[in-house]
Amino acid sequence: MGHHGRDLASARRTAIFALSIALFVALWQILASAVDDRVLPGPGAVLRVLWLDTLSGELPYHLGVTLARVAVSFALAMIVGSSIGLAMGRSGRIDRFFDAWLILFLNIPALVTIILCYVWFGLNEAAAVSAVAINKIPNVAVTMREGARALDPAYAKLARVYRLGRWQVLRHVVLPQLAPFFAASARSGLALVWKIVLVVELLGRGNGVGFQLNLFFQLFDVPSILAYTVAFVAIVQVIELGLFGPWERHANRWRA
Amino acid sequence: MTALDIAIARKGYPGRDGAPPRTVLRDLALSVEEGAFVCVLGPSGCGKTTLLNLIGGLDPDFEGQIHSAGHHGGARRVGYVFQEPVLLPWRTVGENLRLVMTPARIAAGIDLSLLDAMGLSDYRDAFPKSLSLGMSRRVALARAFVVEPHLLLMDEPFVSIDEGTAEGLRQLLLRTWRATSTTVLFVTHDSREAVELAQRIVVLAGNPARIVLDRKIELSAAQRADPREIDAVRRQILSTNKDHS
Repeated sequence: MGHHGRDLASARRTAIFALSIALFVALWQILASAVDDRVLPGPGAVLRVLWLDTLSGELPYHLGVTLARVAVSFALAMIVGSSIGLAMGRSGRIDRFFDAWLILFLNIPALVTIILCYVWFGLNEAAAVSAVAINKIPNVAVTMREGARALDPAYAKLARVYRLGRWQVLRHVVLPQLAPFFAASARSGLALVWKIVLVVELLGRGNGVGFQLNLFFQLFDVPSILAYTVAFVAIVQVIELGLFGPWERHANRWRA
Repeated sequence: MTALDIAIARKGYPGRDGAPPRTVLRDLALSVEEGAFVCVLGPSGCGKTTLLNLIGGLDPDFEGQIHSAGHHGGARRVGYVFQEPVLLPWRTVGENLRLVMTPARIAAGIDLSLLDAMGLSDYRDAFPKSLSLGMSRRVALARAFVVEPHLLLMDEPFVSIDEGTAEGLRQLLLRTWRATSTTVLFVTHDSREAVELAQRIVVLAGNPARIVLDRKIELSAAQRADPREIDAVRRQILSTNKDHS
């Protein structure tokens, strides 16, 4: 398939995506006009709130605070989780010993971690971010452990025969093999982390999207709830398409 | 001058998963002249790869000593060609070659005449996935030569490709070897291949394996190109070999 075919396929995908969004908005409109406005406002009303809150600066502020928390706890979870997972994948002894811990942490409900972090470390930023990271670390560790187990010994042998330096081995031999696993855990990680951040904010922070949602819930302000949701989902999508997508395409260019 | 001096008293593997411990090599002594092309011939699984791993420094766990000359100010350079090409698929051909080169060599650039001689000039920016198996093996061969090795270890590098491609690669190997001063230790189970390539053939047999035959091959280039000549030498080697195993 040449460039032409690929362009055509991509245009078709975009068209299907637009059609699907349009259908969703239409269904929303139909449903909204059938029920009480206060329970389910239409897309127009939500868009108006979105616009006004953006102009006032309130929505961008809370969105920014939440995104900062997402970024920090995501980075923390990826670094710590990868380190644990790689250590477990490389050493059978470490793996056997800590496997039970991993299963334990995988099964602790997010809410429990959050409450305990707040109780033990106080209602502060560090506790909030840690609680989110702790929830995500076991998942990252499990995926990266698989990655470490999948490292091909033939490449390790190559590296030793040709006396490659540590940095060379890491950059050219090890990381490219781990990239697909890293991408998988980053992708599922982002989806999980931002949801947990909202809960953390709802329970113990004075700002952020989660805090605002709780406020709107008290005020029964459904248009604002939907406006914040739409804004947040849109931003996460942009991160996914604008950051993860291109990076993954670059990392996979040799597979073609 | 001797390029390689091997005296292995014993090499074994510990028993694992219920299998008993086993001795793979015993009392194996071999000395290789600098610039020689030596084929190590033996049946599959007799310990040829084990021997190469010891020589290549991949496995320090054995009784005995291996000395190699050519410590010209620093580490001895070893080229290794595996049974599979083992190219990093996420790096281009050029990047795969540069990776094993010393910083000084990289600064001087990849030896283009080598790439040209190997027919790889047009493939520098290609990813290994896009290459045929024969072409991948050519890159693996080029990678072994760009380090300017004092010692080139080859572990059945031309198996599982069609005979025509393998023959082309053997000719390429011989041409490149003649143009350099590299000592080559070439492991194979194919006696025809060994006779065609080697100046000297060392036959491994037995369990644990030891050297049962060590023979110079004095054939001209024309004789090596003649299947009947090769077959004659091959028969001699196989018949001597039979008495020992």
